Amino acid sequence: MGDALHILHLEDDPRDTELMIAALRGAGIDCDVVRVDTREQFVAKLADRHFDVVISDVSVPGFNGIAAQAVWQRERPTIPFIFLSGTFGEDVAIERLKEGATDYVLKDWMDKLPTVVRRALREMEERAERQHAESELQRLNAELESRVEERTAQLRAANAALAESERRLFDILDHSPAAISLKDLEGRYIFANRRCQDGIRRERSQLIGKTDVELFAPRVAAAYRANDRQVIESGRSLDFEEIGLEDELQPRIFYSSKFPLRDSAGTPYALCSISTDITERKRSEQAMSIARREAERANRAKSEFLSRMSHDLRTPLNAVLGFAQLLDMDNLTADQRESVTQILEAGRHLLNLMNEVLDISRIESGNLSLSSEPVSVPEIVDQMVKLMRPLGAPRHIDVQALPSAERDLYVRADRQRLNQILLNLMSNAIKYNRDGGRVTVSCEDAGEGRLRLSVTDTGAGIRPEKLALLFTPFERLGADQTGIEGTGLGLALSRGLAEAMGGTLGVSSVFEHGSTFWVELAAVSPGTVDTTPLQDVPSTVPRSSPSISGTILYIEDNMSNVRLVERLLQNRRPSITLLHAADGAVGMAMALERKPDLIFLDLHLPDTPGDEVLRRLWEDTRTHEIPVIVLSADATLSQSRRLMATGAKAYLTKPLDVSKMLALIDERLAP
Amino acid sequence: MNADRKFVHDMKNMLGIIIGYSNLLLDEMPSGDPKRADVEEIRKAGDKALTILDKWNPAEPSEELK
Repeated sequence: MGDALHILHLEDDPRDTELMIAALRGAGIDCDVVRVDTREQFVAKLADRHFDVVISDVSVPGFNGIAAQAVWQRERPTIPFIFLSGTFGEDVAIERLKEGATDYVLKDWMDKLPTVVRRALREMEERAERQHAESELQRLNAELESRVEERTAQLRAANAALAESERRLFDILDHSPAAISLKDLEGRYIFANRRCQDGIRRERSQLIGKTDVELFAPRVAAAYRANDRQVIESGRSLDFEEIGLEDELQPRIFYSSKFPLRDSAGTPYALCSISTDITERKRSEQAMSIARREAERANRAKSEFLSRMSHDLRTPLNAVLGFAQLLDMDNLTADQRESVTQILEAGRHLLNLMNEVLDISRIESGNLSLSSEPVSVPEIVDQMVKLMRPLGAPRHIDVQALPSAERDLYVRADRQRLNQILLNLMSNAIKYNRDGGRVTVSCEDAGEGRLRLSVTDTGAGIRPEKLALLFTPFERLGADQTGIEGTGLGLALSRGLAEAMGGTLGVSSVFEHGSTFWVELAAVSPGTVDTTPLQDVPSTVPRSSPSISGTILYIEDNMSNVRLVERLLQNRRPSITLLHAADGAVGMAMALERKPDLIFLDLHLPDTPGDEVLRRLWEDTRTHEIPVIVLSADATLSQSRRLMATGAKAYLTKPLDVSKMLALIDERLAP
Repeated sequence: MNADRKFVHDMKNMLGIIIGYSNLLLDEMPSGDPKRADVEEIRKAGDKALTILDKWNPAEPSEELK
C-alpha cells in the first residue's frame, strides 16, 4: 500500500484505538491514526487534514456515529466510512449501509477490519475511476454533440450554397436563347430549359422522364434518337442540323451540338443537347444564294449572248478586213483609198470590240487560256512607250518611262496580255489627258514579292463616286453621259486579265489633277524560261510577183476565207495553184495525193481538231516534209509555241493579214 | 440604253460605215473594174453581219442601213 494509511478514528476509548491499530498493523497495513471523540474535533480534523478512511464508533458521549456519517457525507463523501462498534444490531447496520456507509465491523471481530478496510479502499478507488470514466464519457458525448451540430450547420450551409448555385445555373439556362436539354442514356429527359419547354410546348414536369417517341412525331423522334445514338456510340461531341416542329406548318431548322456527359470515372451517363434556331439564317442564306445565282446567271447570260453574237460576226468581219486589205494593196484613187481606209478602221474597231467581249466572256467563264512566263519589266515598258509616243505627239502629250534603279525586274505574266493591259492604260492616259500633258510609266516594289507598274496621267481625274463604275463590264457601256469614247470594256477587261494572271489592277485619282492606274503582278527571277518572243512575220506589202509558183493546200471550212485567199492569189500570185479541203479528213487525203508545196491549216475544222491534223501530217513520212502554216483566231502564245514544236512552220492569226500571208508564201515557195 | 443595246448600236454604227463606204466605192468604180469583186465581197460580208445582228436583236431591225 506504500505510504501509511491516514485514518480519522471517532472513538472515546483509546484502548480500542490501540486494538484497531494493532489489528491493522498485524495485517500489514501501516497506518497513521488521529483519534477524536467530540463533534468539534471530528468536524475540524475532517476539514483540516487529508484522510484515506474514516472509522467510527456508533456511540460516543455527546456525539454518535450516525451524526458523524452525516458530516462525512457532506464534507468528504469520496473516502470510505466504516462503522467499528461493540454493539451493532443487524437493523442498524442495514440502515447505515443504505445511508451510504461503506461497511461495518464488530469490535469482537477486529481481525476482519483490515480486509474490510482494504475492500473499502478498493471500492472507493473503483468508484472514483468509474466516476472519472463517466464524466469523461459525458465530456466526449458533449463534444460529439457539438461537433455534430457544427457539421450539421456546415452541411446546411453547403446545401444552401448548392441550391443557390443550381438556381443560378437554371436561371442562366432558362434565359439562354438556345434550347438545352439533358437525356439519360435510354433517351429520357432529365432536364429541359425554358426555351426547350417552349419549343416542345410542355412544362418541365411534363417532360421529365419522357422520351422523344412520346413527345414528337415518329419520324422526327427517330431522327433525334439516331443522332443521340451516334453521339453516345462515338463518345464525342457532334453537330447536327435537326428539324423542329415548333410550328407544324413551318418546320424550324435547328443547329444542335450534342455531347455525352461523363461521371467522375469517365463513364457517360447522359447526353446534353444545345440547339439554336437557324431557320431565319437558313432562309436568308438561301435567298442570298438564289439572288447571287440569279445575278450570276443574268450576267453569264448577257456575256454569253454577246460572246455568241460576236462569234457569229467573226466570219463576215474577217471577210471585210481581208478584202479591204486586198483593195488597200491595189492602185487606188485618193477617194477610193480614203473609203478603203475608213472601211479598214471601222472593221478593226469592230474586231477590237468583239475580241474584248469574247475575252471578258472567257474570263467570266474561267476559260481564258494564258501562258505564264517571266517578262522583263523595263523591256516591255520601253516597247510600250515607244509604241504609244506617236499617239500623244499630235496633242503634245509627253509619254515617258520613269527610270527604275533596278534594271533586272521581271514579273510572271502572259506577255501578250500584259502588253494589252499596258496599251489600254496608256491609250486611256493619252486620250483623257489635257493637251501638252504628260504620261509616265513607272515600276516599283509593291511588297510581298510583287511589282507595281503604274501609268500616271495629268488629265482631269475622276470623281470618287465614278471610280467603281470604271471596272464594271457592260455597265460602263450603258453610261452614255460619260462622254468617253471607245468600247468601254477596256478597263474591265484589263482588270480581268490582271486577275487571271494572279495580279490586281486599281486606280487612284485626284479630281482635276490626274489619275494613276496600276497593275500589280508577282515578281520573279528571269530563270531559264525562253523569253524571246516568237518571230513575227514582217508586215510589208509584197508587190505582185508572177515568178513565184507552186501548189498550196488550204484546209478550211469557212468559204469566205477561202474566197479571200483565192482572190489574193489571183491578184498577186497568179502562178500559184490553190487547192481547198473543207475538213481534216479531205485535207489529209489531198495532202497525200497532191503533195502540195505548202499547207495552210485552220485549227477549227468540223471533223478533226486542227492540231490533230497537224500531228498526223507531221508523223506521216509522206507528208512530213510539207511546211504547214497554222491559222487561228485565238491562239495564245503558249499554244502557238506548242504548235510550232509539233511541226507548224508559222502561225497566222485571223482575221488574216494578207501582207503577212503573202510574205510567208513568198518565203516558202521562192525558187 | 442597256449594255447589250449599246453594244449592238456600236456594232451597227461600224457596219454602217463599212457598208456606206462600200456603196460609195461601188458607185465610183466603172463596171469593168476587177476591184469591184473585192468591194462586193466587203458589201456582202457587211450585210451578212447586219443580218446576224438582227437575228440576235430582232427588236431593232437595220433596214435603214441597207
